[in-house]
Amino acid sequence: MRDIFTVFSFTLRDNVRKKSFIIITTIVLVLILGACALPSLLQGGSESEPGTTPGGQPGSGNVPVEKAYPCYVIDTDNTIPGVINALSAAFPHIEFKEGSSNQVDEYKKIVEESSAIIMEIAKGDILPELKFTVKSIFTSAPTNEIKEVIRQYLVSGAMTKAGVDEDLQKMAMSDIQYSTIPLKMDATGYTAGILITMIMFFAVYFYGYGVAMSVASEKTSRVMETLIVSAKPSRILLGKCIAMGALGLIQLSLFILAGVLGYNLLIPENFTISGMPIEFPSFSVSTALLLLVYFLLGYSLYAMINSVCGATVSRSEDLQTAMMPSVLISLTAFYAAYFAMLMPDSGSAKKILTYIPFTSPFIMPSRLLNETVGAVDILISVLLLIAAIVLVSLLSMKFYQASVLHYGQRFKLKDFLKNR
Amino acid sequence: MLLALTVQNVSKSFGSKKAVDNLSFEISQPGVFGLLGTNGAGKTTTIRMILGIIPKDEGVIHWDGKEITSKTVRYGYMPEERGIYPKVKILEQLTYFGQLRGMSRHDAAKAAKYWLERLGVAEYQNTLAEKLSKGNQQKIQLIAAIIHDPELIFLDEPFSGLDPINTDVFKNIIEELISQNKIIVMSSHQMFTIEQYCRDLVILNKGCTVLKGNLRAIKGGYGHTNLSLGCSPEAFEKALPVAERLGIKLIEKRANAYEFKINGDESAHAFLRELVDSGICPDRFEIREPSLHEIFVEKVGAAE
Repeated sequence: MRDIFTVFSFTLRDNVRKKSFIIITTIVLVLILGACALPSLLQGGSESEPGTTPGGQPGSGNVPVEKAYPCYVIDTDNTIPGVINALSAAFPHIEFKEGSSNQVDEYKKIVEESSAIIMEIAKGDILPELKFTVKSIFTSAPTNEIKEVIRQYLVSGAMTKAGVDEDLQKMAMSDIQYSTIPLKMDATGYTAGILITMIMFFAVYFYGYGVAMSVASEKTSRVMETLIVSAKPSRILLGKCIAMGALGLIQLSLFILAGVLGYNLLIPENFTISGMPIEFPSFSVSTALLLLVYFLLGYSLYAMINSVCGATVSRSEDLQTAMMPSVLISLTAFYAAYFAMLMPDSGSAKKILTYIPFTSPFIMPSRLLNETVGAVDILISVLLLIAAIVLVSLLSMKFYQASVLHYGQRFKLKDFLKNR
Repeated sequence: MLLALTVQNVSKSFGSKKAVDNLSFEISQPGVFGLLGTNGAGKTTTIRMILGIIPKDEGVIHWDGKEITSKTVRYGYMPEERGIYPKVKILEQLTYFGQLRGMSRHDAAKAAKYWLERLGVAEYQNTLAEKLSKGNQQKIQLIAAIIHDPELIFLDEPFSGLDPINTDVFKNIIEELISQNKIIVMSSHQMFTIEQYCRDLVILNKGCTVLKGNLRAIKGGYGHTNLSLGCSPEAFEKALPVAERLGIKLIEKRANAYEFKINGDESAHAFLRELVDSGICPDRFEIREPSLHEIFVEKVGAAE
C-alpha cells in the first residue's frame, strides 16, 4: 500500500508539473470561459444593427430593401399571368425579371457567377411545372418557398374565379396552428448523458494514453529495471494508474468548475440556442455517486489495458501502434453506446450494453439521467465491471512484468505465452 | 554472524539458448564477489535471477537459508543499462527511489543529500537529470542503488564509461562499503579493477562456469609464472639473449616494461644475477602470479 502511494504521489507530482499539462489545462479553461462569454458578446453586437430581423434576414418594413440577386422568370406561354408581381410582393429581396427562352444561355452564365436563379414555367396536367436552374447543389435558393407562393397564387385565383367567399378562401389557404407540450420541458438529461459519455471517452483516451506514455517512457529511459527491484510491478502499475486517474479528475474538476462559474457569471439569463434554454440537469446524490463510480471503474478498466500497451514498446514512437487494440475497443464501445442513446426503441440494446464491462461506462451515464434503471441492473453491471477490472488487472500485471525488460522488437502476446 | 547468499544449481534458458547453466556459488563474507565473463556469458541474467527480476528455470537462491526476496534482505542494484528519469530533478528522484525502498521521505532526502555531497554532485540536486554528464548520471545511479543502506549490493559494470577521476571516486565509495561489511556482487570487464577488490569470483562463458573460487587461492595455484622487467630498450636488447638461454620466454612488450613467462623462481633469480653481472641494472624486476586478465583469457580461451 505504501509503495502504491509512493508511486502515486511521484507520478501525480511529475505530471501536474509538466508543461504540456499546464498549457492544455490553461487553454481549455480559457476556451470554456470564452464560450460562456460568447452569448453576451453576440447579443451586444446584434442590438446595434437596424433594419434586420432577429434571424439576420432583411425585413419587410418601410426601410427600402436592397435586392440581393435576380431571378429570371421564363413563362413563354404566359401560363401564370401576373406571377412576377405576386412573387415580387412575397420576396422583396429578390429581383424577379421577365426572361426569354432565347437568352437561357446568357442567364446561365450569370447564374454560374452569382446567386441568380432561372425559373422556367411550363404547362402541366393540372398545375404548371416549374424548373429552377441554380449555381450548384449547395446553393440555398428559396425554390420551395417560391413554389408554395405560386401554388397559393394559382389556387387563390381559381377560387376567386369560382366565386368562393373571401373568408372561405382565407381558411383554405391557412395552415392549422399546433403545438406539442412535452411533460418534461427540457432535454438537459439527454444532452448531459451524451456530454458525460463524451467526457468518459475523452478521459479513457487521453488519461489512458497518459498511463501508457508514462509506462513506455520509464521503459525507454531504462528506469524500469531500477524500479522493479524496488517495488512489485503490480504496485508500480496500480500507483501509476491511480495517479493518472487522479490527474484526470483534477483536470476535469477544473473544467467543470470553470463551466459552472462561466454559466452563472457570464451566460445571460434566458439565453437559448435554437429556442432551447441552456440548463444543467439536477442529479440526486445517488445518481451523482453512480456517475462517479462508473467514471472511476471505466477509467480503471481502460487504464489497465493501456498500461500493458505502454509496456510492450521499447521506443515511444511505437506507442500509437501498440495502443491500437485499446483504441479500437474503446471506440467501438463508445459508438455502440452513443448510437443506442440516439436510437429510439433501443431498450434491449441498452440493457445488453449495460452488462458488457467495456460498454457499460459509456451507456450508463445516459441511462441514469434519462431512465429509471433497476437496482438489479445497476448491481449486475457494476459487479461485472469490477470482475472485468480484476481479471484484466491480473492479466495486465503478469503481462507488464513479463514485458518490462523486453527490449528491441515489440513484446507480443506470443512472447508472453512462450515465457509463461 | 554474517548472512550468506547461496546460489545452487541455477539454470535459465531463453528459448533454445541456455543463458545460465547449473551455476553454483556462495558468498558468506563481506567484500567484493566478482562475476566475470565475456559479453553474453550470463552475468546480468544471473543478477536478474537473484533479484527476482526474471524467474529461474531451476535451482535455489537463498539468503540466510530462506528464499531471497526484498523482505528477507535489503539489496541495492545498479543495472548495466543506466536508467534515471531524464525530466525529473536529481534530489526528487533519489528521494523517490529511497521511499520505494522503504525509507521515509525525510530520511530518503537526507540520505540523498549525504551521498550527493559525498560523490561531489551536491550542486546538481535541483537540476534535471538529462542536463548532467554521463559520468555524473552514473553517480546518481550508484546513489539510487545504495541510498537505503543495503546489506547486499549488485553493481553491474559499475566502471564502464567512467573517466579516471570518476573511477577513483567510485573506487573510494566501494572501499567505504567494504569497510561497512557490505556484500558486493560486481560484474565487470575491467579485470584490473576487479582484481583490486575481489576476494572470490566466478568466471562464466556462454552460461557455463569455467572457474570459481578465492582469487588469491586461484592465483596461488598458478604459482609465480610471470616476470615483469623494466629497463631501457638498449638494456633489453642485451637481456633478451640471456633470458632465452635460461628458458624464459618473452610474451609481451609494453611501453615501460617487458613481460616474460618463467618456469619458476629459480630461473628468474638466475636471470637477475646474470643481468647484474653483465652490468644491466633493471628499473623493475617483479616475479608474480598471473594477472586475472591472463587467467580469464586462458580459461575462457580454453573453453571456446
